[in-house]
Amino acid sequence: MPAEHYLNVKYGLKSWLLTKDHKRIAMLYLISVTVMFALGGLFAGLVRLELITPGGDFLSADAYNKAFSAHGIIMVFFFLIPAVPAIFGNFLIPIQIGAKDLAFPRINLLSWYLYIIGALLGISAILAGGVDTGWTFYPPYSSQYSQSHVLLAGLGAFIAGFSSILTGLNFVVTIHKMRAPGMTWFRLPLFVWAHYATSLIMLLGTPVVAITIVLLVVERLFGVGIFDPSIGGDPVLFQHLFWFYSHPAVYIMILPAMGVQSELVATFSRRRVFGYSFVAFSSLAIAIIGFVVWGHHMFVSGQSMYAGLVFSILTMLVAIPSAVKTFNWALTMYKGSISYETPMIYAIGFLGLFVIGGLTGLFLGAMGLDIHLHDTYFVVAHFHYIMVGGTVMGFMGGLHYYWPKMSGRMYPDGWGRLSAMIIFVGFNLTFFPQFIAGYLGMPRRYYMYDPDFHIWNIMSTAGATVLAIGYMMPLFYMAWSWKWGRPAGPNPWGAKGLEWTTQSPPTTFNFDETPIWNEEAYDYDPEEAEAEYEREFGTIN
Amino acid sequence: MAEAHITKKKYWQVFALLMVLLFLTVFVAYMHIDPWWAIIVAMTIAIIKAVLVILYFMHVRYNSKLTWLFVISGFFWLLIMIGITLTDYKTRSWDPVGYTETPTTFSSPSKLPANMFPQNEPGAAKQGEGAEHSEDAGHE
Amino acid sequence: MSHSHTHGHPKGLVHHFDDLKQQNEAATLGMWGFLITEILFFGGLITAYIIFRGLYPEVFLHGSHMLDWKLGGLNTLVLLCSSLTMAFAVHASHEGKPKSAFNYLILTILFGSVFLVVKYFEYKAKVDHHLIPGSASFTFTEGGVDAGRAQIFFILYFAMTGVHALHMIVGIGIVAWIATKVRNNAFTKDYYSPVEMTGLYWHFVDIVWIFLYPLLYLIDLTKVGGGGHALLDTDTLMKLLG
Repeated sequence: MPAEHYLNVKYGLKSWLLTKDHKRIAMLYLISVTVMFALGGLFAGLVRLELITPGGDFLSADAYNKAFSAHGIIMVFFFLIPAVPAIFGNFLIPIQIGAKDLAFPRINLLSWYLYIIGALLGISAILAGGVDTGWTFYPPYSSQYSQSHVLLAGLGAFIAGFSSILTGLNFVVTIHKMRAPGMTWFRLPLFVWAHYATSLIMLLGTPVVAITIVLLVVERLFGVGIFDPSIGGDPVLFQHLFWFYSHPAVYIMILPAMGVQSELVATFSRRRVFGYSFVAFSSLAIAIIGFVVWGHHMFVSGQSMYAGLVFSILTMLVAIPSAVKTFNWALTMYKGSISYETPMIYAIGFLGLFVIGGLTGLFLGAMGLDIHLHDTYFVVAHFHYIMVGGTVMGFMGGLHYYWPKMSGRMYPDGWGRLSAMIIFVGFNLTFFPQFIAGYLGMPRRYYMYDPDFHIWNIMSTAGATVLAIGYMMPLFYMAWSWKWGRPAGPNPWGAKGLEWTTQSPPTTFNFDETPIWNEEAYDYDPEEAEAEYEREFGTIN
Repeated sequence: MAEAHITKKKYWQVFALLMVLLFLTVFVAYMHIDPWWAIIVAMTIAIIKAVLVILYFMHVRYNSKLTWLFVISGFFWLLIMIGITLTDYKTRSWDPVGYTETPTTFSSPSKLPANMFPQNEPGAAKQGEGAEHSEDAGHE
Repeated sequence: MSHSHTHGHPKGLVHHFDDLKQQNEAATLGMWGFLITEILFFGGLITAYIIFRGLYPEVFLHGSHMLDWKLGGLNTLVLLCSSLTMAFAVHASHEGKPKSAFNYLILTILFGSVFLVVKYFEYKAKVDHHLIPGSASFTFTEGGVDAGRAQIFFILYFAMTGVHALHMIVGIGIVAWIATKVRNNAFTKDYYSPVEMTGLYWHFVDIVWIFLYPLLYLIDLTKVGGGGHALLDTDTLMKLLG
């Protein structure tokens, strides 16, 4: 282990809570986001337990509504949105572009505090008795007739929104203005490109949901119809404003994971990412097109049929850049010297699951088919394939890939691979049956269901149990490695990129002096990769 | 930032122009013109005023292309939001909560309007539009 | 001025930036990034306004006539003046004249306060006329429009102007804080980006009002109190133009 690094320059709680170091803030995020993930998982467990049997014998209808709402609100606002950007983006973007810190370190710390305040408000809403609106806060569920704690939860989401705006702002400015000499746009790791696109969405979308929540609060407090139709308001307006942010927010969740995916695939295939600039621009394309498709959430909610048609066609366009990425990752692996360390297991899992999630998204984007599938478990399965199969896989892959850089130590790879495979199996067992149940017509958000769907729900709950075991394992071996793991050295994976030239863990300012970068991104030697492949498997014919 | 060499005179000129536009916008509101044109004219004047402030007071005219891009994209996204939301409202062939009905008094939340969904009630079809309404209702 | 002790580390440069140019550019870009979020923040309100004005045009016409366009106009005037003095303050900082910059900042605060005082009297008039949406005493009889829908106009009026006024209050606070720093000679000819950033924020708040004024106060004033007040109608205009 190096003598001095960002973890041991100062000790004590104060040195952490008042830190301006982007790496320490990333660690603060790692801890708090993990806690929220566990909490969200707990509510998912309650939901799955209730659904073991067709009758409502574990939770009451009310408690069930509150459980799935709590699951959704926590996972979306306090896990998926901040997970990859605020932890890995925060930690790595400055190092990857050769900067000493993010452009505005104090704002970075402020964003963590806002996140904590938002999370505490969200938790207190649950403790106070819960919210039963679902994570979307649709009126009239959330209007003045609702007796649950919409105000607290809404305020929590509002404040967490500002946390994400500040993170995005920091990233945009840092990527524009603080790249080291020689680090041109097309030498940036694709991780950075993905985060740049994500940050644009954070800046352009989040304020809209913030003001929407303000209007919702105003409506509840004053009892005036803005969204409530019974007093002249317009609930569809809420959905427009809400999804103007919340659809792009889906890309806030998946784009950073795609950035991680590009890194993993290149490193463990020992090849430059196929079609680098296409992958880079596809991130921007997803961010931009993602802003004009929100109406596909509203096909059955009173939106004009013609607007629905346009949204449906535009939705098909988003598939193009996503497919570009998927094909390019597959082509990167083609003829690469693939090694199956833990992060790569996650990367391969991501690829397969994202394809399923993405293609079922096309089903739902097609307006005619959506009329049939809307608000069924098919939708639930679809977005879990993207959010869990994509984002959480990317998050876990990133955690296992960057952990040696963050902690300076290696975790036991065998355990890592085992847990990755358990998660993959558990995930599919949980969510694939939901596609079937949904297609057969099982509606979402009910605590009872027709006994015909029983078998699919038993499989799903069994899978969720496996999944939970898979998620808990890293907690133990990562904690073990923190103290007893083998020192990793600067570059344990033999990866290319500026972040792997620094010591692990890095020093407070990352570099002693501003580095000068002369390499292309992912500058792997194809012949070297081929030779390595031949050594292991014989000649390629 | 340091490149901004605007003279004080220029600021005064911009300010004078803003004053003229302010009086113009009030003047236009006192003219008998078609409501739609009135909105367009008022918004055009407001946009010109905003552009003047952005270009000169906020120095964007003398700033890098990147700043231009940021400013333009901010307003462009606003247009996306308003424009696409309006495509929904402007192409609806039905009237979900009776907006265009003659107002019924329902200022207190407990009192729901009796005819919230007029097209679902038999005999609610009326005045030419009625046929379209009932046809939609039939499809639901 | 004090270039002797800026050797090696210019005044105002933070450690993780290479030089002041990089730092200033980052600050400008960051401020504009923030202002973009503000555009969309107010944009959500404006979208709601547009939709409801489209749904209830009569309500907005009569609701708007309950607002005093003269006071609104006065406030527009005051805000434009404050923008001018703010621009002068930045200009003076650029030329390295902290005293002059300080005076202009104080003027800006004064104009901003006048705006808020006028706004206070406008709000008070609404209370007196029972135009507070959601209150039991809300009464609206103009033009025979529905009182429930009239509340929507007023809730939007209060939300839009209220959020704007909140930005004004924050703005005055920031300008006051920057003014004290200017007075303590915290800035130099090369490093005055905090003053400039404050200026950007202030001008932006001004721009928001530039849009709010015609949207809220100036809906067809010819129809105030039953109509007949046109300064000029289309026929006369046509005659004038030939």
